[in-house]
Amino acid sequence: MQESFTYHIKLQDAVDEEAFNASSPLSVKVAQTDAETTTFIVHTDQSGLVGLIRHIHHQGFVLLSLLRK
Amino acid sequence: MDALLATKLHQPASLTKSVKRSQLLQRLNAGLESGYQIFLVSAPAGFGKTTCVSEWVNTLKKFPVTWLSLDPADDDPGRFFAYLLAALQKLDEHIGQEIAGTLRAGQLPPAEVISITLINDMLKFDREFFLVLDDFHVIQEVFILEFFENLLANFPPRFRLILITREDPSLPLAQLRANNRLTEIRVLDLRFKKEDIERFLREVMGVSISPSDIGVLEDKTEGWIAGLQLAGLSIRDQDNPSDFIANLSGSHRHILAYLTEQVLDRQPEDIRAFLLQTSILDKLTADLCNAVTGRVDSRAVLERLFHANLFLVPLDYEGEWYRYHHLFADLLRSLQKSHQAEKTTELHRRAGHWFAESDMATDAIQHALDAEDYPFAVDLLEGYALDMVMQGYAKTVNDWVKALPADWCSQSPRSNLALAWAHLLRGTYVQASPYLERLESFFSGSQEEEAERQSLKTEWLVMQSLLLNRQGKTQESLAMAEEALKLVPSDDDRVRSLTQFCLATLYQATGKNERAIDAFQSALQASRVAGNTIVEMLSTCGLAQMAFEHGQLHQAYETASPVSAQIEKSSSLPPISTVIFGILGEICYQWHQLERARHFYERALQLSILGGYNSGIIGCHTFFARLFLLEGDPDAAAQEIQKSSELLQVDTPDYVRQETLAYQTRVDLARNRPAAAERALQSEGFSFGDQFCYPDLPPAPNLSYSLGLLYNSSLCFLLDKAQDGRNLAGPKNGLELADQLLDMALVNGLISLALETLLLRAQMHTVQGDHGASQADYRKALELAEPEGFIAVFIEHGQPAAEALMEMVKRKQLEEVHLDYVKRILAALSEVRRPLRERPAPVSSARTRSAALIEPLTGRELDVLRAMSEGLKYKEIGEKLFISQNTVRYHVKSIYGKLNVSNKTQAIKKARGLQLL
Amino acid sequence: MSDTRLYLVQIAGHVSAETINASSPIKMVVTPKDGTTQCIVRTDQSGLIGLLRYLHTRNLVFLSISSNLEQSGESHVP
Repeated sequence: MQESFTYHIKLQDAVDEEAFNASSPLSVKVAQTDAETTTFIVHTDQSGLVGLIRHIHHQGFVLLSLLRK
Repeated sequence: MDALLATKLHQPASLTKSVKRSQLLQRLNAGLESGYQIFLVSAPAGFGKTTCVSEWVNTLKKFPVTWLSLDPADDDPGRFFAYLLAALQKLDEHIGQEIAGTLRAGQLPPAEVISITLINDMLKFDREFFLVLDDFHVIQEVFILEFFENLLANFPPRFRLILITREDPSLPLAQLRANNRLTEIRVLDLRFKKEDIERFLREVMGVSISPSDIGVLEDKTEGWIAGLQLAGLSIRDQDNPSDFIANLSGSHRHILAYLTEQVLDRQPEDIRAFLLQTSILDKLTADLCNAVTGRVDSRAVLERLFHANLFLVPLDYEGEWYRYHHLFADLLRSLQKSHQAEKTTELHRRAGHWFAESDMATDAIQHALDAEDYPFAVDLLEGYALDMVMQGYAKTVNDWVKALPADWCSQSPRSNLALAWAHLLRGTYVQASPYLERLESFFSGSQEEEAERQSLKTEWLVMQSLLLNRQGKTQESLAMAEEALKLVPSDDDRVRSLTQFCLATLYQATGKNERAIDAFQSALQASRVAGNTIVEMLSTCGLAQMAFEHGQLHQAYETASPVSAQIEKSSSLPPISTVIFGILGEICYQWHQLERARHFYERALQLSILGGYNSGIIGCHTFFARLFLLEGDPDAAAQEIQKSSELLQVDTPDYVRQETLAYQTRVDLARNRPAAAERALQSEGFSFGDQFCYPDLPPAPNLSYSLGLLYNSSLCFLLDKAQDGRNLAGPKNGLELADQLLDMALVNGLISLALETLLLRAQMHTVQGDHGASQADYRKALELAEPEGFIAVFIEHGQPAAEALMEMVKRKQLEEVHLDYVKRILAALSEVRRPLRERPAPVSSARTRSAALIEPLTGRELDVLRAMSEGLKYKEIGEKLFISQNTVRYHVKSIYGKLNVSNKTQAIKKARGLQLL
Repeated sequence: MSDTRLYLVQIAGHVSAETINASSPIKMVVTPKDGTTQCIVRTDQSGLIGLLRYLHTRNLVFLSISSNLEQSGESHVP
């Protein structure tokens, strides 16, 4: 739980990394994006991840998937 | 009620123009009619959750409704419960009064205690009542969620809870769904359908577009109301709305950003600037907006924005306070930040100063931190942190300190001081250390005024002294407190009172009684000058406790009594309250006023539970054990002492542990369980083999009342053995201990202890046939006891004491002056139902007899059964046993099942038949 | 984001359905698989977020989350 992992988070829609990071609790890196989806990479522990997912939800983005590498 | 609290309790007004959501209202009403108690409205921001609920509760005219809008700062238990109680007290001012008092004293009762107390208070409602908690998603604290979990498990029948949230709370909602107790409105229900969109645009936004455009808009926005509102504002001035709508694309976030910019572009420059600049505010009022923007016409601007549907939400009925819709505010803020980052800082600074001047510390500090104006933030923290921590907002202060860069943390000694106090007062001593270390580093590089520095250093020394004392390093602790006293600035009465109080407790612990009394009195005087009521109460309590331990019952009573009255009158219930009621209970017990004693201890127990004061709870149960022993009910005493034992923890103070063990032994002896008593005493270093051995007595000044009780319990055990004829040598060996103990108790002025030792020694002399020595001890005990009216200590020694006293009266061996007093003791002795040595064997205890049933009654069920037999109603039983009415019902149902009866009368009759009662 | 979807949340280790559903905000279908536990739930995103918070506060470790709208062919559903 305390350990940090790399998570891949896929959202619906094209999302701009800079715009997202402007208000995000964690800085994310866009790994892949197209018109339909965007995949972020973030390295954090599970508490950070939960905070980020809540932020994604509150910002009105649609979470498609998440994978811990 | 202050203006900002009022805004939190304000139910958002229904918009004059809005689309009625009849279907949603019908669903909510259907839930209400079906008896569903919890209403969850869960959807992302901007779907009209609050509007929907506000519209619904407006239709519930015949029911009382209270509303609480939460914000992120409320995710602090102290703050959350203060607001929750304020909301509930709008319905009935008596709800949660005791909890509110405890919170005001800076204490946080355990979550279960808060829920049980509130549930009991809510049971008094005779019709349905509603609580709406808006933005419940901000609540993440496990403590607060635990409270709701308890509440859901024992939900008051007439209570209706409405949770408005952007995400489902981490609560057992699945069970509620399965049990048909939950009505849900989710995003699919809230989203606008085509006809809603058409009506909304036409009636609310004054825009008319084609049905096909409405279809496209529905697809693009997914019926998202905030998006539709922004789209409506944008479309108003569009030459070609169809093109505009067709060009909308992307996620809600994209649409929102795009539309917000569109809406802003349509505003005059000064209004655009106003919206961006004031977006940094969580709540807006004209004067504040003037201060932030430099304008003078903010009131007119706010009214204009409100009437233009520009996402301004009123927070009161007077039109004083507003906020922006959260989504809109978010977007405006990020635009402000990206376009004018450097100016944003200045805006926060201005807001911070406005809030500081208005004495609204929380907002002032938050804006100072947002402005990264650390000198200002530290300045504010220095002024407010201690008061806020003492009011129970330790988490909030801690979050602020964490938000300060490391260099600045040590620049706010008072915040560190406040947080160190928070941990010391809550008993989390280890966690106080980092703050104390930071304070220490402050002294080395301090540029503060000399008096200020001295004052801080003194307080720091006092805290270090308390920590050392906690670690058992009494002498080092005392030396540090004495050093602190030398440093106290002459005009700082608050710190003087703290220092004197610390010294007094250390003198008391080391047997320097006269010095302790002087120090308590100095602390009392200084605290009164400084207006520090907590230290005033602590010192009064210390004086009362010392007077009691030294046998000055009347003085102790006169000291403690006004404080207890003061506590009952005040709206604040500090943890020390429990000690005051305990002392009064103890005095009444000694005077053999048992009902008054019970009453005081019941109040002490109630306050201990409220304050989560574990030592207090243990002490109260131990007292009830003694009371039951005195009344000749050892089985009930066993249940009470069992409760005390179960609550003992590793960090329970020695005096509490010693006292519990001392009475555990006596309860075991009274129940004819000498082996258990022996094991308990052996664990403390006593041995009762061929020869009685006991741990070395401490130096006389270090003999405490509780330790003395433990030694006396070993004498009780010896007597028990001797009176059973098992070891006639016991008393002889015990006499040596009794002699030493008596001398030490008398030297230390511990009269209550000395009295008991004398009575035990008298019985040992009797066992050994030395009636002369025995009578001398009884006579001495009477001489010692009479001036202050001790009675119970004689009753505790039951038949042997009664026989000896009667014999002495008969033979006229007592001076005339004693006779009335002795008669009072003998009268009290005759009231005891069964002398201690003549009680039935423990095999016939209620608990054991209960085992004769196919399924025996539990201890709690026996408690409930006894209360029923006393004629108490469910509500009264709940109050007596600190359980909810529902729990009482649950126990009663179980009792009926086990006794195979169907009503109360049958249950009591059958229980009596089985000798359970 | 308003749609109700079928979500699959994979958790490290084996956890029983009773344990997970004991005080959960939403009831899940729980099955063990290769040293992990798969929880399937139909809900909207607000429900999913609440569920994730619930699992997190109970110290359960998420390995993956996927929804049935994942069409890209690189679904994380094992």
